[in-house]
Amino acid sequence: MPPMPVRTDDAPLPAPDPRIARAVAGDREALERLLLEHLPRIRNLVRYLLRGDSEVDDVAQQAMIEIIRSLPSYSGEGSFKAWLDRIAARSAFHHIRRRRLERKGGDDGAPELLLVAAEGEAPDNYSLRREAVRWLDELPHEQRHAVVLHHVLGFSVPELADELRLPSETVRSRLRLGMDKLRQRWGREKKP
Amino acid sequence: MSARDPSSEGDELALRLRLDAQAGPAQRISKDRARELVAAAMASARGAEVEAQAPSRAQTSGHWRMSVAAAALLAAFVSGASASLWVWGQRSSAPVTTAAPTRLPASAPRAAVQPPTEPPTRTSEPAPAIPAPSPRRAEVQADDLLERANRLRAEGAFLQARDAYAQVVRRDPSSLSAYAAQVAAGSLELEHLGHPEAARRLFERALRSRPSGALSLEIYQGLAASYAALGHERDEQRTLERLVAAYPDTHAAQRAEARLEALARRR
Repeated sequence: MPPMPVRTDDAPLPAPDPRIARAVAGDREALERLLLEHLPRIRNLVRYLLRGDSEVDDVAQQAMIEIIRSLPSYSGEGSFKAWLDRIAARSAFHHIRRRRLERKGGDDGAPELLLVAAEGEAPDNYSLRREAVRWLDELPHEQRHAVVLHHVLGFSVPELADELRLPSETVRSRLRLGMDKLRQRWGREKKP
Repeated sequence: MSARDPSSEGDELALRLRLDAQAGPAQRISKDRARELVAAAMASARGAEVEAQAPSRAQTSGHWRMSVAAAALLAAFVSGASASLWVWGQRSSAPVTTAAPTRLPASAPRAAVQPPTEPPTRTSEPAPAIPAPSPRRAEVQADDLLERANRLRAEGAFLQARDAYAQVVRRDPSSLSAYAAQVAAGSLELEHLGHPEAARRLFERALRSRPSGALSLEIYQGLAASYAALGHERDEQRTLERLVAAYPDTHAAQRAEARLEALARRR
């Protein structure tokens, strides 16, 4: 299981959200609004990393608890979203590790209903993302995590290698294998 | 580092792997459900503060300060958000597809859960005859009792709090409130009443009832501290090892590892 990578953003950052300071100072309403605003992103990231839907809310909730507890330590110097992402991903990795210990392999969530667009109707973004994440569900964890950290969170190969403490070649190999499988899967889906 | 724009891949597939606050890939949930999740997280975090403010008469040895945080926290929000914590505690394997929090069906095998509880408080008389409440009603009552118990504990009325925790378990043994009450009572016995053996039994029962429950970390900590207080070093060691394996990235694990090293040096 990879440790949680740490990333920084080079892009200029907007001024810190004033709700962060208010939340740290104990303003519950500010904290609630902040969490409500970011919950969808947290849940999405957790879903990218977890196989299946059944435990997404558990892990998102745990991530929010960690966020609340860690909020006073947020320096405001980096992107708040990147900071949240880091905590959410760490929570997901921690959960996966625990699950592996408990189940020694395992689970993969209950089957779910597939979303099917009506005939002649273009599938919306939600349907497309749900479809893509189901393909991710078919990858081994290692490949999945490399793909998500690289393609979703934007880590470069050297950064991934550094953070995962793996040779660059191993990272590239995982990425290549993972993306090849996803493309194959995608190709099959596109065939009439 | 600069975030890579998936569109530069020229790959429609990569375009699907976007992270933002739009719907997907996580399943859609309702606003009410989102509010419940946030409320539960806030209540959990607030529990730590409640615990930190509670007076302590008898501190147990060292390496552990029980945070019934998570247990007290369960009380802090029993009214509205307990439903979502119920889901959290249950770790249901079914996908959450409904907006409303999921509860155990009324037919859930409540009787299968071990009976209360610990310790047989200061009275030995049988529990008062309580008309069998409906499952839902019982949950509400147990939640109310848990809130009261935590309030008593925070006020330093430890013996009364112990009785109240026992009542919670008697009222609805299979509820999340009962689970939390056992953990909270365990910490009370250990930290404030100086009864590590009673604490051990309570923690073990709570762990048996929900091996992967939301308070497992607190239970491991409490169990290890109970064993330490009882002088059962082997059991303490095993418990700390389980804690480290299950929660490797936590401060609790760091403290557990330090304690394990201390135990190893002793031998």
